[in-house]
Amino acid sequence: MKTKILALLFLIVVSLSFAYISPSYSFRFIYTADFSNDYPELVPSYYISTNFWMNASLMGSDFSGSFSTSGVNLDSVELNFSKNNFGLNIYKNRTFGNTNDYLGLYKFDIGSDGMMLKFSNFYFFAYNSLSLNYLKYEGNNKLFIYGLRNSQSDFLVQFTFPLFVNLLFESIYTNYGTFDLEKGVYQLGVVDRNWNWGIKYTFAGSEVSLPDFTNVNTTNRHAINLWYNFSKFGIWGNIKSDEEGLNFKELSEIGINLDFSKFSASISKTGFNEFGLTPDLWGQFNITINYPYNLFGFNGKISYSFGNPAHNTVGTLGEVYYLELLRSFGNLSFFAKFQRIVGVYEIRNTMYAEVKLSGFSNGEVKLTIGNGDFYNVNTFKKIISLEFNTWW
Amino acid sequence: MTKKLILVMILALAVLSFAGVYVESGKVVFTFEVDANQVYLAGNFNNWLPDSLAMENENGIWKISLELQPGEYQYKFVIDGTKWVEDPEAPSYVDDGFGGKNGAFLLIEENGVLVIKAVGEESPGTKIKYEINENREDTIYVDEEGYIIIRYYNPEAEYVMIAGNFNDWDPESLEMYEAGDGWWEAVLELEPGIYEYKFVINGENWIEDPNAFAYVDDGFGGKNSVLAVYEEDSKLIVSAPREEQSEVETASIEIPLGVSVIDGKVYFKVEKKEATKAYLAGTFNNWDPQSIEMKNVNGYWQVSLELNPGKYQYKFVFIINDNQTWQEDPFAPGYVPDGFGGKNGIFELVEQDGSLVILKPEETSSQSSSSLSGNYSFTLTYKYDQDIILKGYGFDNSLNLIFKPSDELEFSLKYSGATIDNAKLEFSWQKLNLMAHYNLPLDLAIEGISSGVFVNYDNKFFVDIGALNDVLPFLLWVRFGDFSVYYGNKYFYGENAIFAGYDFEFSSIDFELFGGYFVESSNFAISINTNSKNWNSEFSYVNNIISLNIDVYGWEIFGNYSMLDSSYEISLSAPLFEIYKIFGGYRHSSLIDKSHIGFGLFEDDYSLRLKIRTEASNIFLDIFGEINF
Repeated sequence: MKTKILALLFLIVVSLSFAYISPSYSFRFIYTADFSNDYPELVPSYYISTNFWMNASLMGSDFSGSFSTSGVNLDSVELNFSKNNFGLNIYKNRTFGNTNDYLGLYKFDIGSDGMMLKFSNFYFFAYNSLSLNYLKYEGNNKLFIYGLRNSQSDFLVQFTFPLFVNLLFESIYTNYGTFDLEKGVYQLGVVDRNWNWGIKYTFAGSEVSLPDFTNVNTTNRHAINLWYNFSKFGIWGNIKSDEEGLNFKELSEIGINLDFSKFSASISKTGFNEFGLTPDLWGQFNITINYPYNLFGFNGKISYSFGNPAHNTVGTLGEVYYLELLRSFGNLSFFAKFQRIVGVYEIRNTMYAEVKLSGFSNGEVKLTIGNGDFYNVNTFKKIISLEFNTWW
Repeated sequence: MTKKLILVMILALAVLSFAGVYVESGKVVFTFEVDANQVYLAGNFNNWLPDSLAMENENGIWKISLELQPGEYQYKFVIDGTKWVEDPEAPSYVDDGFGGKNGAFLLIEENGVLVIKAVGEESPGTKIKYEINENREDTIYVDEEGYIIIRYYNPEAEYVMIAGNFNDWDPESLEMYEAGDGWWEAVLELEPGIYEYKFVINGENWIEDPNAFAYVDDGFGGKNSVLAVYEEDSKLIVSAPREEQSEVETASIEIPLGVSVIDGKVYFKVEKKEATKAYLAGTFNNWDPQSIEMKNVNGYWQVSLELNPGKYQYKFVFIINDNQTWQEDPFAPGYVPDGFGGKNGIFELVEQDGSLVILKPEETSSQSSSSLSGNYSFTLTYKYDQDIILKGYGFDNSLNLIFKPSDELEFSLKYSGATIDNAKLEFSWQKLNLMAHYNLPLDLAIEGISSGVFVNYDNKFFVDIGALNDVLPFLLWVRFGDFSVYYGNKYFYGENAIFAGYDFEFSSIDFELFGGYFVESSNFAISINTNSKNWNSEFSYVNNIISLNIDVYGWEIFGNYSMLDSSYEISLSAPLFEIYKIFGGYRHSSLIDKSHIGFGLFEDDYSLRLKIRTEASNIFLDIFGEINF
């Protein structure tokens, strides 16, 4: 028991010492009262979360690095060594590695452990927390990758020919061994030098096997992407089939974007086998109009959208109304937004508001009501949070 | 007169002490102080070629001057043609994509003079003076399809390219077509805005358009041609820049990558060619991944927000092949961990003199960084696998931080694995030294209790008091000159013990003797350490284990033998070319035999070791590293 007390005392000393010594820390304290549970009596439940981190940079003659701590935990580390032409990077719980190809062979968006060895333009990535190693060569307008994962392999070739327009070619071939066109994904493209217009064709074979951590879309056997953006007008279209190379009509999409200083609008339609006079016969579509405004010292955005599906959270035909208000009074700022979804079977209203006081030299206090993530949550959450955010 | 001289000297010193990059006589001068045989400059201005721009050594300072056009630049120094390092005095930094940093700056023209600014600190709406070309022929027009046509007459040219701020001044990307009779023609697709350009003849000579609408100083004694594109009645027209609009239009085409403030709005700009859509998410919109859509302008995604002063974190959300990918801004002013192993961009928006500016998050001051030291070590383990050759097997690491905010106070903390492993807090006041240690035994020849409070008075009287269930373990010792006497109460292995130590020198060899007796188990323990100029040795007999470690001229032999189970271990390490070592070892026990062989690099502030080891029929690869800072 005495040992535990001693340990606890130590941690308190640790916290105080950190706070005193280093200016490169931040500390966040959130006090949340959640009234969303329907108990007979309204009993708020409280959550307190702290976020205490440090990101110290180390600079030496041949190395550099950083590490971060969260609470009493060593959260993540990155070290970079370099000697002559060689480089060695070590990662602990950091997102690292990039294939930077047009199709997106591997994507890494959560932290991993591992290392990267570099020699000139050659890179070798070995992952400790993923079953993957890959070798990459990145040259001027060309890219080669050879990856190994479990008992499978991936081979990527990408070329860009910068002529009057950009000509693109990329091929990802999986399960290297006996050759079969169906084991690959291939892309050809002709794109404006500024990417303001272009056309790309992608073919995905039926025998392609890619890991979860990829951006490559193999659900469309054939896909043609076209776009044309000019000044305030843009039009795009995706002609797509399913995995069997069928159902172009159902899956293809087209969209138009208009962007004027007074307002912006977009129209999109997915599938062309459903047409009728009334909107319930239009299939998948979306029409959105955004209007930024400035009125009585408030500014913000009003938007209206009509479509099927109406919203990320509502799978039917419907409308979405959205209003945003923003006004500041010196160091005090006020922000609120409202959303109303009118679907076929449901009506969902939600709002979020915050008042922020930011007059401190390195801190701010924020009072919020509701959940501001309208994309994923469409009903009002009875949550009040008081957040103290400091950094030094 | 004296005052003026002092003022001039101060100004001169101020210029000399400016960052590693500055403008002198219209040229951008890069300086770098380092002890090297040759230093090169590499950056996006020379396609990152490591040996094309050799710097000259002037009294220990490496220097090079370049004529650069206004724009955004990144660079590094290449020492001896091989080692890439960033400029410690760069105006700003950006992530180099490989875990390091590139020096970065914006070169902009203010009142006809080139100035260097940190990336993200560009001042908006800079007033530019245009010189109208009164004697021009009409060679620039908009065709029926909305393309801007620029014609140029040069019958002697073999080929002509056009370069301007519409193509990042790339002299190779836009070729002019031969239109016959010595005329060349450029076909450009431009949005409304003000553009500067030049013709590049035969890939060598940069010249201005004799029929340009206007000119502007190019900062090197020459001129850039200027072309303004306006939209009237939904049609594009070309002309010289109009006086009243030049500020706004200039600002609109010079939004820097990353985050910046222009006309009171916060602009975000990023490049992601493969994305079909892009959104901005951050603390300003509760990380909603789709509420702030970015617009694609000439291959860059950008959006502006009206924000109040405060500190903000953000990320970009790209839609790539219908998948949502979150990515940090490579040009963010600073970063913080995002809690998922990645990082968020961070910036602080403050109001200065009535206008908003973006500040980088505060960095550790030199004072506090000098008070922080420590070391970090890691072992990355891979196991040989038939399918993928190297299969991840383990990652162990520890971080030891030592804070020394003043002479009186020292605090150390060690993280091992993922949590705090041990810690130490030390106060010194005159002859008194007070230390609290947690999970960290005192540095004695025999390991004692791990947590306690230690008092040292004048290096003569010492006591360490710990805490165990039901007992109060302590060690008391007194030093008389070179002789010490110790009494431990349940301090070593939970036993009462009496020890004595004696330090002396004989024939230029330092001896440290330490030995004693465990009362309950009647066991003896002994330790003999010797130190000489070129060799040292450590011998101990504790807990029925004999250990011997000898180091002669960098050759190191270590062995131990347990009298309890007859297990033993032996290892050898030999120096190679001063900073390298090879090593190997063998361990035998009743359960398993292990052997290893390896190679290491040992520098003063870091070491790296590569070890191949076998355990039964398994083969492992260990990469071990340690850095001191």
